[in-house]
Amino acid sequence: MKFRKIPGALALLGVLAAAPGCKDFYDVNVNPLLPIRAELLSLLPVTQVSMAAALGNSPSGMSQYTMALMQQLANGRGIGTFQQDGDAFSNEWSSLYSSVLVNNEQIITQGTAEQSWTYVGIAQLQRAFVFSQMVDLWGSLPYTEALKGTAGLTTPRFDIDETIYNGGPGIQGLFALIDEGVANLARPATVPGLAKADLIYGGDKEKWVRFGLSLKLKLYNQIRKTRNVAGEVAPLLALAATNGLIRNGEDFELPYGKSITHDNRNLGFIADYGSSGRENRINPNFFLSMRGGRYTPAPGDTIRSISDPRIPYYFYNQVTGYPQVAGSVAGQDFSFGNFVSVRFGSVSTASNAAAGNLITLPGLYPIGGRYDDGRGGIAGVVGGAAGTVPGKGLVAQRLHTYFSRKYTEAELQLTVLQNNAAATAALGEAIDASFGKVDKIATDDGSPTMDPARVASYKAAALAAFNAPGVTLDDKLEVLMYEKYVASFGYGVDMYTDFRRTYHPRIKVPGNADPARGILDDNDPITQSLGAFPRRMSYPISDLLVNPNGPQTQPNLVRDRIFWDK
Amino acid sequence: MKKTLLLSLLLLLTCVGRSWAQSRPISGRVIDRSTNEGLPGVSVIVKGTTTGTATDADGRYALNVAGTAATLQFKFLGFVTVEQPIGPAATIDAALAVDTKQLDEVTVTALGISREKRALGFAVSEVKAEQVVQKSEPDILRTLTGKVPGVNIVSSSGVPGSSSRITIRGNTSLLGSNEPLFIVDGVPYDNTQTDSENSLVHGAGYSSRTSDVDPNNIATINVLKGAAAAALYGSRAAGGVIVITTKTGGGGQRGAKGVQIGYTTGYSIEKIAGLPDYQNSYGAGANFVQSSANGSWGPKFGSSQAPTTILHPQQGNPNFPDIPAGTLIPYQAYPNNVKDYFKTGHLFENSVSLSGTNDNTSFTAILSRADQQGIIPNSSFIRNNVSAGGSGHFSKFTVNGNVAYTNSEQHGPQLGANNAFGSNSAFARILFLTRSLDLQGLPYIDPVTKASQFAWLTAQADNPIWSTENNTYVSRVDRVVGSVGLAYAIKDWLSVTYTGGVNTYTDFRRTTVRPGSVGYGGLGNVLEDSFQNTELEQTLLVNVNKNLTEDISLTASVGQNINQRKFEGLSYTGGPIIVFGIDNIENTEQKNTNGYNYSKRRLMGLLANVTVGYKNWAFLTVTGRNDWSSTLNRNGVFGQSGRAFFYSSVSGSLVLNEALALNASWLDLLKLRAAYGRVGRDAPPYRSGAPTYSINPQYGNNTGNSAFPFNGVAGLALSNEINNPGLTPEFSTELEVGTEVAMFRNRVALNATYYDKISTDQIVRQFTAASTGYGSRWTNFGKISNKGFEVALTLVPVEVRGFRWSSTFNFTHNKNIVENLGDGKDKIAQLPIDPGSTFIGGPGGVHIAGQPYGVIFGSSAARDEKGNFLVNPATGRLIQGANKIIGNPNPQFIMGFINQFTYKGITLNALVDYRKGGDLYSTTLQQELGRGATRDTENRDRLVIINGVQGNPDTKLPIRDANGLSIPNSTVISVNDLYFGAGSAAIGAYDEQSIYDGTTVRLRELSLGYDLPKALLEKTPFGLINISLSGRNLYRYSPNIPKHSNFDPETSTFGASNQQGFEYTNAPTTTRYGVNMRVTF
Repeated sequence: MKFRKIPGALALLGVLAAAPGCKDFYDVNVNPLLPIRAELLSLLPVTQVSMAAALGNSPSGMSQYTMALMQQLANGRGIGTFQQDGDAFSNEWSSLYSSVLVNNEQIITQGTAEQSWTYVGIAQLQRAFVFSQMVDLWGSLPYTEALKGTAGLTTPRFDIDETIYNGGPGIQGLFALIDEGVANLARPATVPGLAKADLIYGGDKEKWVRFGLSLKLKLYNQIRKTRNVAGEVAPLLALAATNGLIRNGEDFELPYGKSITHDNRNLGFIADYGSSGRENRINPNFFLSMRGGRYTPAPGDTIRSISDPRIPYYFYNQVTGYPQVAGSVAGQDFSFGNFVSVRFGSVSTASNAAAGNLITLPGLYPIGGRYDDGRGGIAGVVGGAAGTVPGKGLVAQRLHTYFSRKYTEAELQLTVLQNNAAATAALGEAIDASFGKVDKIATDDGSPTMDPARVASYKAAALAAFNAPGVTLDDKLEVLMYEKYVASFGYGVDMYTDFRRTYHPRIKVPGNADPARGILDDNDPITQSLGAFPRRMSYPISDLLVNPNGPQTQPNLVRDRIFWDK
Repeated sequence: MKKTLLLSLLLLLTCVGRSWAQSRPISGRVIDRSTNEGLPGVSVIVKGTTTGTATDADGRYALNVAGTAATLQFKFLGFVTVEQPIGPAATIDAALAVDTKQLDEVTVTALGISREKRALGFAVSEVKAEQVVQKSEPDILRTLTGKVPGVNIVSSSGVPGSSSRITIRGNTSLLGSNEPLFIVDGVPYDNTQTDSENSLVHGAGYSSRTSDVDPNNIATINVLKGAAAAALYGSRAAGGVIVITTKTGGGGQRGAKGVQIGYTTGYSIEKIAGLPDYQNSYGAGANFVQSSANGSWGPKFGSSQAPTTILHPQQGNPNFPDIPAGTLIPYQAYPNNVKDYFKTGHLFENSVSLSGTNDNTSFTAILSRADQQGIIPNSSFIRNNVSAGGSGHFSKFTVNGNVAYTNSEQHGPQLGANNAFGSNSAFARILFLTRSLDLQGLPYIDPVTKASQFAWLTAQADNPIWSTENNTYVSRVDRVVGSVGLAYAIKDWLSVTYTGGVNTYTDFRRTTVRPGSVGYGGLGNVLEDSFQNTELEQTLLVNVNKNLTEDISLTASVGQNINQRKFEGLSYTGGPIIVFGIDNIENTEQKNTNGYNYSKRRLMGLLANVTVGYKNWAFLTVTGRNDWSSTLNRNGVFGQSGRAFFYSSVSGSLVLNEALALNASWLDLLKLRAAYGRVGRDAPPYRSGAPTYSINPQYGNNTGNSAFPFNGVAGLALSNEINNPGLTPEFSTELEVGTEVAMFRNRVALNATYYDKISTDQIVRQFTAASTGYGSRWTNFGKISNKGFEVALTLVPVEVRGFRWSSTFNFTHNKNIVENLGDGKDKIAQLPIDPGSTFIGGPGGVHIAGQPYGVIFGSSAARDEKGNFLVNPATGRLIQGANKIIGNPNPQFIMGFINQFTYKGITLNALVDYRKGGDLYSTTLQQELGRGATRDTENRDRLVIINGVQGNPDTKLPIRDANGLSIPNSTVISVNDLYFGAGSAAIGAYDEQSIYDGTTVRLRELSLGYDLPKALLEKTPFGLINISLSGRNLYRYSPNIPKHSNFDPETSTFGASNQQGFEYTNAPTTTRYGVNMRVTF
């Protein structure tokens, strides 16, 4: 064998196989698994699902935290007992920008190039909705220069909150953005795949337009203390009269599904029913105010007179058979009958007791949990552990509803137009819609609906309180905002916004009372809070640190308010 | 091993024979004095000329010498050079004796190139087989701890098979891998730790894949530390190189002719290393009131507040008919409820080796098995190896080949933070178990539903016994490594060598959570994933070795290196589980893909390495390498992959005692060396590629995810990362200077190095403000420095009448600073190492300019300007301050102190190591204190006042009295409140309060061996019998850890990743005691 030739031949082969000029050798730097282009119909559902996750009611969404602030849930995560840290909401903030808005922006850019105006219009309305929610939570934030990372803009400037709403030099405000979205929806365009891709309205352009106009009305209402909006709301209220806004049954909400392994169930449901770790407890004060005493709360209290028929749809008691007295379940921080929970800021020895299978959970209405038929049982999921009673987790994540449109109308009629009759009518319709929503969910679940007589007497009591002799505007707002607050259980961002701009309904917290802004002391020696009620959310520290164009320090969360908080 | 290397060197060292006029022929035979066998390849040189030849396979030579020539030199590396006068005889024979000193003088450097140690201008540490085998430790990395200066090794946990993190001279990459490159028999060995699930939630004790290396097959381990030493390896060597030569890969000692059989065995038992001292006075409850609590803050047993009995947790449960309603159990301490959970593990290692040696060929085969059963029930790591290899020398041609197959199987518990939502960790409660909980006596499983039963804590956590039985992680790895080497001597001074091989493994894993766990909603879940990693490598070198003049030698190699790496991973998840106890994804109701991973990259390098020596006491080496990488683009343009980049090194060494002809008899060696090197590194695959979309994304977190396809609709989302076509390579440059001194016939030996390393233009996934729409972008920026020194001092204080005491002291100090995090345009202040592995709002590892690498950043307690704690007068507890740097996980220095005593076949070895500094965020300690479980918190019949001043929780400022003075805190709280709740010292405390200094002195290794006397063995078939006892991690002292916790701070939840200094209720470490035997036939 001619050994002599072999190394030489090998050397030659090696060099030939991999000479630097040989392009094929290096041509492996394209990932064969990941697409580099997406159709609009694949992007739209992503924006909707991620929007419901980041704003909705779950540990990854803002609603859970705002509902805890608003004393509906007792959940110390993120906001603690009024002690946010700088990282508290960084996940939600990042999801909103880098999951929801960036893909939404891609629809606008790509859709404009492809002249798919319906997709563009939908994405513009979604953009307006999401940015409005973010301004309501964080105030000034990156808006015009945001979402341009691939263009090399890595340090976006923070636009002023008020400017984002109203627009300014070089800045398209949210109202103008909604107008553009509505106009785009009116343009003729082919909509390949939209009916399937649009998880919210199934591609119905009319519903989107009505949502857009309702959103506009909602935003004018939110800034009504900052300037006179009478001229701007009048045409929208006229449209309302002809049902040109969100209609009954057209709620802006993301429906959930049954699939478990690629989980399509209600996110809040997964956290509360899917794990015996139980994410949330119900704030006892919310339960007590719904359970009732008198409709008009006593001075310094929040408890209503009349028992709310929605209680079994709102709360699910896992235990049963306890007497209807306070402290019914031994060893628990708070119990009343079968209702078991922990007080906000409780420092009692029982507040850390193991109670995952004893506590009352959010029920059918907020997260698709169980309707409380009074029989109790450890809450679980379909197909779950033996001995547990399953919920389905199918209830949609509500984001903006017909009833909230009606409450908005009532508020505007009452405060801006000062038309008490129209306000009363709108409030009545709002209460009807609120109860109607609960009944609709109950029907879909196969659970019994409410006793119409009880509903009627509840509505009558509320309207009577609204128009009781001698009531002040403040008293009327308390009735109106309380009804909106209770109905909104399941979506917290707007109730937190409504409270900060109206100071209604009044809530009770441990210490740090501020009655002028609707915050009462719970007068409970066993509860403590670590600070005062926050009037905004903290920016994620990570964003402040890497963006020199942002504020270099956190705003004061208690004293620095959003522009409409007056 | 030596001989093979020497043989290949021979090809380089022999010189050209030339015919001279008036010459006469001389021939002869050169033999090995110890065996009387012919020595092939000995250089036979006419002294003072360049005339010479080499002996053949039988040790014979023939050459012509000039009439004037006076002396013949017989030189063979590893043997003492012999000179014979040329008399009138035509035959001159020589017998060479092994030079034990010289044997150590050759070492393997980059790409298998052997060099005399004296010629090296940089530090290389060598570890011998006997230093790593039969030490009651199956993990090759862990056996190196304390033995190599400049190397830092941290093991992750006591789970069998779990990973260790190794860094050499600090971290050189902000976010990329900092582990050294492992080369086994010339082929890179992928040591990546791949996690199947989030380590914080459902993690396990994942392996890093050097766990497949069989220590029994190791001949030598060479650690190339600096840039100059590693520069020829190129891109992946910025973190240093660990070159392992196996026995079957040609590293075996060339024994006597014939066949030799060896057998080694070792058996060790394994126990938990640090069981806390528990208090047994107080049971479950809070503030002296009994309740169904996790904490042991209840009433004192036997006191008037204490109930004598409590309700049985399963009383009245229809699934437990034997426990009727109203059944009571005593409220009392169960002192051994934690201890009895752990079992005694064992480690059983067996290895058979077979080697055959012939004149020209040798062959070795090794079969071995390590069987480790851990202290945690149901945990094990079993590794089987078969390797075979051999080499042959045929005329001018040398071939060798090696094939190794490894199969390792790991069974382990699931780990994760105790408080992570959905965590089903076995360690969520066990180490701080409520003292009144009868873990062994109460049912742990529901006989009907099979669900976990954990006394009154069922809804909170899985019963640890149930968890280790039913929540399992199984990994099975099959790895094949094959390599071939060819060498051909074209001329006596010119040779060509080729090394090529393949290293491939598949890892099949299954992570099961059975129904009835608190994890996965009690439904059960099976996650099956598998990876395949294949690496191809070949190197072709042309070598020159020539004495240019009698004084000047030239050694050079020029060559080409090609590398391809391919990784493919598949993951599927299924749930709920249909039939309890069948752990298979087929047994689930819904199955879904859980991600697919693919990457492929190629690299080609041209390289050159030239050493010029002067009189064998001065050497200068220059290396250069140019790489073309598929992961970087030419001209920064998409699609034009294959960017070129160049790096080089220069190093020199001077043997001063010879240069200055210092003939002091006490001075054996005085060498100075200096090196300057630069190593480049390319990008991960696809990061310079096009922007991508992810398919069917999911939104949420570990508490719940909304996953696509959503209601039957598929989705695509923009990737969260911005790729960058303009990425350029990152570089580390390093200057090192050192000295090697040997005195008194090597009874004092010092090897000291100082280095200064700068790593620049880091290829970093820079975290961007989320408002850009993206979480991160790939870019080049940042600068890291590593400055330090490493010292190895070996002393032989006593060597008399067969008694020898040798003592080695290794010292490592490294200062690893993040110099800057900007490229000038957009400076960033802080770079999280891995935001994906921190809790929202929890502490995390970050890089901050001017600070040590990867400091721990988290919440702190507010202080006044003098540093006093601010205490809320209403609660008596601390007030939350700003988030800030709260710890530095990097040790200040590491010391290893190795002592060996030998006397008449008895050898005693002891390794003590000392790590100074290195902070740890520990939730096990936090829970042990916060739950009042250990004796640290037993003295609680008192009230305490936190030492501080009154502060305002909203303004975070001290409260001043009328004179503007701060007011000392006077609010009393209970011991329970001191350790539990917001603003306390443990659970609910600010992160800063759970940072502990990890300083530890440890008796890491102790072994006592005995070689049976040769006289005794003469009549037996045995050539050698050695019996030894070994112990590992026998004693530990950590002065700054709460005393009664007995906690071992050498642990890391994130294993081999860059995020260090975090312990989320990890599995505890172990102590081993073993007995071993080694025989040869």
